[in-house]
Amino acid sequence: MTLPRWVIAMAAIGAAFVLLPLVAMVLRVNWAEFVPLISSESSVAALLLSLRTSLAATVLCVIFGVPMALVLARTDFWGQKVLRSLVLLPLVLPPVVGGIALLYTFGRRGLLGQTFELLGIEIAFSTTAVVIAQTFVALPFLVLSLEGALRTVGSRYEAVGATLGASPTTVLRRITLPLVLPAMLSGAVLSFARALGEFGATLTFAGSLQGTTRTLPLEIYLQRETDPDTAVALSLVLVIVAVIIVSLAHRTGEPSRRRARALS
Amino acid sequence: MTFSLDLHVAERDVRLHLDVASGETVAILGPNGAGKSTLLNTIAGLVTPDSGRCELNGTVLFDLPAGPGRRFWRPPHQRGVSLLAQEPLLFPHLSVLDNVAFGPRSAGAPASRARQRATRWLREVDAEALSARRPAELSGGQAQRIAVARALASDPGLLLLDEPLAALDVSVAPAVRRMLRRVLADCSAVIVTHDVLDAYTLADRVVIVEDGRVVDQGTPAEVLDRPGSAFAAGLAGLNLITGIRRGNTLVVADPPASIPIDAGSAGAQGEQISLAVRPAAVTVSLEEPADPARTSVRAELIDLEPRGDFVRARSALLAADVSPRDAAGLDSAVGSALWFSIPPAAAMVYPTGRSERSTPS
Repeated sequence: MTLPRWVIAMAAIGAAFVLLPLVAMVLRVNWAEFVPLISSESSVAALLLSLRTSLAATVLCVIFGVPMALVLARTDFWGQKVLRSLVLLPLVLPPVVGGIALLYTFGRRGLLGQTFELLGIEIAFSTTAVVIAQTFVALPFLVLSLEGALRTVGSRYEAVGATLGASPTTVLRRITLPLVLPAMLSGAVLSFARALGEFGATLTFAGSLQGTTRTLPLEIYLQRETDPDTAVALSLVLVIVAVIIVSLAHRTGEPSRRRARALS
Repeated sequence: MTFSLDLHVAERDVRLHLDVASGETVAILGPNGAGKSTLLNTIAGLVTPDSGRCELNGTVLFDLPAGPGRRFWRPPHQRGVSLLAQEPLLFPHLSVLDNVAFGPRSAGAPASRARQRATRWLREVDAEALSARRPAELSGGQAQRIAVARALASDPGLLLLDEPLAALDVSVAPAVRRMLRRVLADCSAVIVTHDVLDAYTLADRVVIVEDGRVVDQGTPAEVLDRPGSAFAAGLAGLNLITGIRRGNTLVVADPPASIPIDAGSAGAQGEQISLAVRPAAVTVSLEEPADPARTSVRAELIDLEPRGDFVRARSALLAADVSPRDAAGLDSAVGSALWFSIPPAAAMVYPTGRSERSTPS
């Protein structure tokens, strides 16, 4: 179809709106000092912490998110719709609010804080808190994309598997999960990206201790006041990581489309 | 008795009983919405009926009493019942060989044994050469052959087939049907179909289901050559006229008609009898046929319906297949009464009830 010219013009403005700030930021990078800036002790500590916690959060998202998506897509029970909206709440919740909610759950005076304290585990303001905050905000991404894929694939292959004598666990392992693997991978990549960018909930719930809870976004926010050059350089690092993640997610998403075509 | 089923689904008003003997293939024929697919899905364990009981080779598949009592429901994977649907539904992420080996693998066979078994079944359906392919690289006929091999490789006590040839191209269906005939020969199977050819070639026994009830059953020849219902007659492509025997006439209530029958015809006075005749044997004429041996009835010609190389002339009582040339001559007669006549040997007259017909004549 031939698009009206004004649609193309509006699209160009929209694209410029997204890209221009990035260009502006890149123009502000102090290239001469770039490597020393991003390899300072605090920068490296923040980057490594970010990668470590985001990876842990992604693993947790897969461990809990896959069963959640399966329950939402394959079972039918009273209140399921309400439960789905509640589970996806972190997606629309301001992260600061999420952080406060987590604080009143796992904090020292929180709902479960006492229990953990008895076990000798203190969660608030620790690296564990960072991982919890990131998991909290990233989980809906995986659940959402996986549930959609499960519904698209449908349960007919699973029914065939069952009539061929496969137990529910075998059906899950050999049919369901392989069929939605591309969606699971792209969901995991999205969760990782969301965890990597987490700021509000982390700051509220985990604080900003260098090497323990100060992730890259927190470090950038802190440096912005005193050392804008470092902040810009680290921002660029985060942008590059994000671009790599987006292209990865795009690539893992492709086989699912090819498969969908083969099915139709 | 290998398999027996009693089934009751209140919502759809289904109340069925079905038996399958060891090695027997039973075809279930019925109009759309008669509850045929519900029946198969219930046996496979994918749909739960309100009440009923089902047993296969001495194992209870489900026992759901209508009143109080212990309800038992065996999950699908413990039933030993394979379901082959209209679409092959091969697992798209597995090779052909691994698809067929899926059943044996799930039963706990080691990979090499499962693959041996799969190869044997692929050979059985003439598809061994396709082992390494992915389902996306198969034609419809090939995929359905492999689905048959996969269903049989799991060694089911009962094989269920839900219109297995309906989605296939007319050019490949006959070959798949021949293959099914071969593999079903010593297998207990229930096949749901719309195609009367499937019933004749694959089934030992035909069960007609209408409105959730078994209305007729018997060998394909019994049920389809001497149909007991309008549905069965339609499937077999026969005119069916049912009425009461009064002397040597068949008296039909709706539309009112009296059809002379042979004095030696089966059926007692006052009993309900049926007359079945192929439309191709019926002729239509403006004048009463002179030949007294022919059975002739006067009926209004409702319309002329082109059907490829012939035209079906329909009345409320009988339909006749005539040549396009003769049809052109009848065109102006639509709406007026004409003579439909049947040559002496073409009509089959028999008592309507199945029990009296089961004795071969």
